[in-house]
Amino acid sequence: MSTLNPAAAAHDDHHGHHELSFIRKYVFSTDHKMIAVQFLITTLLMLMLGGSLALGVRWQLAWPWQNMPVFGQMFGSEGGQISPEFYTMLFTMHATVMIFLVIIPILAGAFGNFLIPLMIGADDMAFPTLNMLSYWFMWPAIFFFGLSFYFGGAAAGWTSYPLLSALPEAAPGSGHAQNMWLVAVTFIGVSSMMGSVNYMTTIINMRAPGMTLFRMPLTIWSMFITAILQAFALPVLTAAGFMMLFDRAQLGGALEGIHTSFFVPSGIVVNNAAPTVGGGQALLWQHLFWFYSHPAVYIMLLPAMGMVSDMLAAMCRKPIFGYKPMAYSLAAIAGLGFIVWGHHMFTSGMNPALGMTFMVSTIMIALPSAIKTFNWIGTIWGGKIRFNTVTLNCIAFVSQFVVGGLSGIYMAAVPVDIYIHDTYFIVAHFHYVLFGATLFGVFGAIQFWFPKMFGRMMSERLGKIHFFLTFVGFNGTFFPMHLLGVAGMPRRYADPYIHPYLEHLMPMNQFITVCAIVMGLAQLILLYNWFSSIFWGTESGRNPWNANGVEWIAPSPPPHGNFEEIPIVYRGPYEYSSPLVEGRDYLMQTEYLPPPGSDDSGDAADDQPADDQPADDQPADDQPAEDADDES
Amino acid sequence: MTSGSRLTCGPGSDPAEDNTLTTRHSILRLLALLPLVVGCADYQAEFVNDERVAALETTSSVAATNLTNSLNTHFGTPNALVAWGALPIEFGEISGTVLSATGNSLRVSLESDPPTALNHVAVVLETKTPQNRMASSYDADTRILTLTEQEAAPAVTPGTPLRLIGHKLQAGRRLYMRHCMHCHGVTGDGNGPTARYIRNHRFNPLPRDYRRGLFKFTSTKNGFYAARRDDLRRTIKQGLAGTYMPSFLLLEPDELDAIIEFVRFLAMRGEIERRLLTHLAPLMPTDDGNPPRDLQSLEKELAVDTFNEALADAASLVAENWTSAEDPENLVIPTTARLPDDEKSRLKGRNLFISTKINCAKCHGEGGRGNGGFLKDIQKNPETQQNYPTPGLRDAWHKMIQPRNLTSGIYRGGRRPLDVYRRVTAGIKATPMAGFATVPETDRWHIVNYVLSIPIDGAFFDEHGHQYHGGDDSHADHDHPHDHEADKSDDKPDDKPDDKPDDKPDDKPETTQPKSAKDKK
Amino acid sequence: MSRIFWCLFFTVWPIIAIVVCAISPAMDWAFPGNREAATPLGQRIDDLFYLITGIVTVTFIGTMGALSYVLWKGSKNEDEKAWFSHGSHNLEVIWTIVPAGVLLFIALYQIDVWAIYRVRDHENRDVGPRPSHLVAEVTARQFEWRIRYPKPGTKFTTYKQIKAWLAKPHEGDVYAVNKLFVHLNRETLIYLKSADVQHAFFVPDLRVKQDAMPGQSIDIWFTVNKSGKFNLTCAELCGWGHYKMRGEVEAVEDLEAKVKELKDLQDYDGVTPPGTVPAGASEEATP
Repeated sequence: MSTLNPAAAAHDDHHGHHELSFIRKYVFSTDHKMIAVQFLITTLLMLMLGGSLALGVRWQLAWPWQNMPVFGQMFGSEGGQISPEFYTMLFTMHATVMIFLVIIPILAGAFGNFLIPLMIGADDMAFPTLNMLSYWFMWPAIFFFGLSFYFGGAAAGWTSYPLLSALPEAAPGSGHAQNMWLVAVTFIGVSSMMGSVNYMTTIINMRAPGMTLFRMPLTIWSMFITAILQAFALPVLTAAGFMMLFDRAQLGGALEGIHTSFFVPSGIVVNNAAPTVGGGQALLWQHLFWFYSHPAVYIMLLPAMGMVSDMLAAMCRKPIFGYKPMAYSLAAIAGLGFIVWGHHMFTSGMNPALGMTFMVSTIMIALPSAIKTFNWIGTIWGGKIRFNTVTLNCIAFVSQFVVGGLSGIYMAAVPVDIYIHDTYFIVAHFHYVLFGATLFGVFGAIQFWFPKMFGRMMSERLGKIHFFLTFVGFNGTFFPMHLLGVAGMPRRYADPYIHPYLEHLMPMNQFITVCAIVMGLAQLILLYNWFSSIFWGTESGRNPWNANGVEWIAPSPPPHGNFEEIPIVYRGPYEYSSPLVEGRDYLMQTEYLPPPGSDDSGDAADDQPADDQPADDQPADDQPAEDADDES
Repeated sequence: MTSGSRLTCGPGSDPAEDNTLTTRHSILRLLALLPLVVGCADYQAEFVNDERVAALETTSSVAATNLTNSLNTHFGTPNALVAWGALPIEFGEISGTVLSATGNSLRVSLESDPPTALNHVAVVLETKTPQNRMASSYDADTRILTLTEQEAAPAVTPGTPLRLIGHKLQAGRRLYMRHCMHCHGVTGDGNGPTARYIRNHRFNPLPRDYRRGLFKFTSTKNGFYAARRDDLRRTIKQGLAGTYMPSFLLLEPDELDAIIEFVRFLAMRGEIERRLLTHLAPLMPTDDGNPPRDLQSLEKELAVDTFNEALADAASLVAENWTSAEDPENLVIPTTARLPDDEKSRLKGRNLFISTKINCAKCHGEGGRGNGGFLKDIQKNPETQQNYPTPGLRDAWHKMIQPRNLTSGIYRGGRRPLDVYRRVTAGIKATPMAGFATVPETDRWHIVNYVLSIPIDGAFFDEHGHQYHGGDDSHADHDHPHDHEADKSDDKPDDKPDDKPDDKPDDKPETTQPKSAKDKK
Repeated sequence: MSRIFWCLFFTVWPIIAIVVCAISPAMDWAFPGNREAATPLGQRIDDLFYLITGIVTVTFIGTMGALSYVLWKGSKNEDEKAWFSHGSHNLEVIWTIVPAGVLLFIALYQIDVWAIYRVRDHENRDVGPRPSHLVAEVTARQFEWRIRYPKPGTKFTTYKQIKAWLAKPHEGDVYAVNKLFVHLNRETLIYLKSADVQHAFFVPDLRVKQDAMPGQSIDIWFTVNKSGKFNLTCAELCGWGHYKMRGEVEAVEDLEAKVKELKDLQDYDGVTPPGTVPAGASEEATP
């Protein structure tokens, strides 16, 4: 692959000596860093929204039919109770917001955008305007999701299975809400596709000289593989979404008469409407949906895995244990991820023989995840660990990923999955991987790269408090759900306690709700920390963590164009504690070392040519990261 | 109504005049308990007034106030229900005797243990002048009944009898809020939040509005619009097939009883409100929105002078309606057993079905699909005698309904021969399905036999007893032996290619019972 | 100081997790109904579950133990530099092969259970159900379970007969709602349909679950070997009343007699002389 940077020449004229207007600089910016921050702010706010919806769900499960605070007043129905269809909307939109508006954009949109050019030594993305569009396409999606609330809320779960979602009569009162939901999913899909095209092209074409594929940080590997996943899987979901929109045939105007029946069999009478004309199959949606949504869960995991690898190496001052196996495992997870989608459908009535084939591939996919976990532990092994917010979040990632992965084994055993499918065991599993692993990884990444984004440090004290409360609240909320699932408590029940075999589970549900409230409130600490540190955090300098990546040689925050000069890469990103240098435990990728045998071979510090180390505002490099590491 | 000791009204209401009604039972207040640790208040529900009350308010606020106050006094609010003895409702009563009284607690001996959720239930002490108190809690181990703080235990001699009244209604209310309210509404008006989900399709029945006291699927004769407890029980247990009223088969019998009593309570409340509104109808604004002439004198007469009498009359009429519905005399029971369900009977039933005398086909259609010619006509609104704007049939709530599609095999009122007999005899209350009680019973059984055969064998029988598929009467001319046995052979091999249409199975399962009636020759 | 705190933190939480799991059967946070499945297949599923639990526990303790150990040593490390290692080829091989072996074992072990559960062999009549095991057609609809039994005494000998019976109502069919009677100690075969949207037939005590797909009739077979009443719930979102679909499955010795009883109640015409109708028949609802 090209190690020259052809785009750099073309960009020279961009190195703006013209002043951009406020709008062009902060709102419709094409600079990948600004777009990344825009993504980050938007997704953090969406995180709060999604979390509130979840708290509504938890409230109902703990105190069924009791007056719900906030939501009860806003959407109050008769008798001071929420209605069952409101509850359906709550869990549908919780999942939708979290998946489409939080996790995927924060990983790819915020961190992918910010880190990719910086880590590979490029000055911006390959397609800056497309990049900007990818952010702004999030807003129509948010608008249409919001509009669906207005219509009563999509009420078919985030999985939107027909016929509940395909026949307007089956969940009436949600009326146009399901249509709005489908349109919104299309917009967010377009946004993701734009992003993934950009990432792939940038990573393939715009790496700095010397940055071979196997010198890329694992973050870049994971972003690259994630982008491939997005590109190949998304079109299937988009197509399925259009098929369902046409099935619903409420588009009006010229599109009114479409009325296809991709997913609707014939002769079905719902809500005493006329029998359907049909000819379709409801199972088709499940195949199309999960063909995307299974790779989607890896989209929601892989970037966090990559970032955690980088952070762990930096925090433990050690190279990554098994860099190539780690990279190959990422690729294996992604590749296998395309052939496991049927494991969501073991009870669906598809051919039982498929149960066996999907079982085999699902069992296989546990292997690369296990290899990665062992390698992380290997990375920590023999390291010099500083327990700061970043480290804590990364360790939490590893330990909770273990729980999530191990609970997945139960589901890979098909007969056991028959029992636990659509119970709280599944809910526990995916929250452990998506929140326990990914989101903790994101919290760590926020803290770790904040100095690069804004030139300031986030508060360590607040970070640790936030971590502690979130960790305890998270485990208190989701660990008991494994037990609820084994006890047979199904998902998506507004009032499970009318079933006699579930009545005794109410105290545990109340415990879970209390923990969830604690966890939810703790996120306010993160928000406060983040926003206030932008303005009042201690200044950080270029490399507060003494980390090795290319991004740390750029100023904090980097200007448009990122680097003063094109960086040249001499080694991989994990040469911490290298014996090649004395007196320090890191050796940056872009640092030139004279070949052994020349004078003063040990001490690189004096020998550095001027190009790859900026002469001015020097101190940041040698400044031990005292502010980062902290009051323990 | 019955006479007895006069009692003052419960707290909180202050009507313009003495609104007491003499009853054997006292007027009492019930408060539901504060449920859970969180300290949330109970369901914050309020009864909703009939739509016309708002209109009444504009012309005569005195009338509106008296109306709402009297409802409040005699029925209470959802969180503070009132047990009005004038109504034939089983509020739930436990008798006992007082053993001792100290402070605000009584040590009692009760005939049976109250349910654990016993809070704020009324306590009647049968002293010389009966005294009312409210209980706040009961401890089964110590047998201490604690009264609410505002009320000290009266000085009673040990051995005084007492009664706890209202726990069943209270239980019914809690169950109703959990299982029923979201469709049927707090007031039983069929307007809960889920109702708009059911409202989607034109012909889908809405949740029942109890406030007219009308129920469709009853076992009583025509003219008795109330339902029996057994009818309500059947509907709740079995559900109404083909509608969104699901089956609550697995509720405990005592839970079912409690819900039934609460539903009757809501129905009676609605009926009394409706009758009072009829009494006050002259006070409503005229069609052009103006107050009626002679408003002042009408108001004095209707809303003040005769109001109590109207209330008492309404109560007694409503009570009588509901009580007589329970009377076995008014139950629709056949006198003869069902006639043998053979081809001859079905043929007779078919002929009656399409006859001009009974003419079921007028609504149900020649093929029983519910698409009879009558649907094309414009019907009159029986209350206003005006034509409805569009053709089609409507029920008593003015909603469009369709005659039943008899080919579907879905019977909302039950599929037993007895149930179908009741539909044919007494019709379906509140709908255009009239009863045909004057038709001889044998004829009605023939119709029942025919109707029950339609989903299985089809609707079209010609006069030779041949079945054909709708509209085509060419079979009437052909000349072939009446031996249908030759068409079916039971010993075809299993691996015959599966290209025969399913409605003529070429191999029938063995059965130890005689084959269907029409195969008998 | 904070080092000890955090190392303990990451050691204690897995211990709490394991303790919670260990006490869960005693606290009734485990399989419903006395923790024993009421079908032989369910018991095999439970065995598979416990086997996996064993493997998972060992792995969990191993990984968490290793994590705690490396955290402890690492945070104590006062050297100027950490261990400069890029990995170990041998370790990679070991921790690829060993998990692969364990996973392979789990994969092979469960195939048999799955085959018995869902794979019906038309030729080999000893595998899976036979047409004569047919008990009922269960139609899930919003929001209840509608059940139809064939006329008591009907014996099905071919699947084609069953298909014909499923296609439309037949004379003598017995209808019920929300309560399903099945065989005790004999194989039961039911066909699951949906009247409207997707539902799922889930009986936790029997470890049976199958989605009801509109437009399909899906066969489910099991043998109940414990008498009793078992909860039936819906396990696929079907609308606002998804949680309301409460049903019951009861295993009875003499199913035919039970269905005959239901049929007699269903045939009640209000008048039939006593003796021909069981004592329980009344004005009231059909059961």
